[in-house]
Amino acid sequence: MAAQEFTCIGNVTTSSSVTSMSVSIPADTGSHLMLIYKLYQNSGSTVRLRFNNDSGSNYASTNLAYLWGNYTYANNQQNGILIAQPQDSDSYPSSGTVYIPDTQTSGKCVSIVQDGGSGSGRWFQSSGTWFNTSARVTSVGLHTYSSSQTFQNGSAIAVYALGES
Amino acid sequence: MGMWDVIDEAKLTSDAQMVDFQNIPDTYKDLCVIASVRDSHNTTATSTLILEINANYANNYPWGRYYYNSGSSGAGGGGNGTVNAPIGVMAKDGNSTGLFSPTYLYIHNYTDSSHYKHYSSWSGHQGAVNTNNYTMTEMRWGSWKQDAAITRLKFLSEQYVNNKNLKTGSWITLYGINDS
Repeated sequence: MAAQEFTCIGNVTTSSSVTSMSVSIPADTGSHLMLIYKLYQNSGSTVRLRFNNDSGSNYASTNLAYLWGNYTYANNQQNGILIAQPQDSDSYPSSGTVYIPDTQTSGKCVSIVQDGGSGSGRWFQSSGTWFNTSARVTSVGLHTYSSSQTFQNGSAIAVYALGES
Repeated sequence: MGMWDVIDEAKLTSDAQMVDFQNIPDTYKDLCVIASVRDSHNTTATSTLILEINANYANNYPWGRYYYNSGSSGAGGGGNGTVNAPIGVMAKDGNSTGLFSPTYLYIHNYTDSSHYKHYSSWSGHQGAVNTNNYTMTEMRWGSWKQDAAITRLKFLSEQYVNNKNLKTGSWITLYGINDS
């Protein structure tokens, strides 16, 4: 077997307030992706992971979380896979990793995320599915809940893909 | 040598009882497995992906978990010593076609020959398309109560005792992780 390793195929660091950050996935990219993020938001809300910029209600996700002393559980069908819940200000960012095991086979666009937020021991665990059975993943992006929530200066994502070295 | 190197991988082109990674080199610090798996058992219930280390089928695998299953509340649980390690929830073949369960497994200091070994894992399940029902997310952790360095990892469905297999299309990749 040829040597293979994860290599960075794209990254975004924002210097202004934005509602999304995404990375394109070239056609010859390996089928395993890993997305690492650090997010600062202007107010607390849940971040969405989307594939191919699909903003339809074509995703289901399940999450298990701990926030401000309370455990929460939810399963949703929404316009993205819910992956993190950064709170307002620089004091309560979120950082975590999304694993996407297979980007090319029909119906297998699933992900796992472990998210850790600073301040009062917050964490967020999620897995989800994109209900698209035909498309190859051409981009992955993180989106705020609505236009009134923004990722703040210093927020960043990086996408790594499995490939031959 | 990269930070994350593929040591071995298996992408099943037919149902198989197991994925068996043997002769794992001792040249890395940690091991990581990223998998997309499905059980061949034709029902809608969930299965469990299990791990056997160094072919050691014995009560040496204590474990714990915390999970949320849609339609219920979150819950925890564990076992004090099963004969292999349950590492993640897995879709069965009665679930919607094409839905495979993602699993991420991390094994720390696998070459240490003087301590028990420890792992953490995260997994998810989606049972049907276009619904938020029949979903599950889970965190697990556990140990292998042996000092030997890990040289072999064997992955099976919990249903292997009933002659059930890992479904064709399942994909398991073993990574070696360097510390520099």
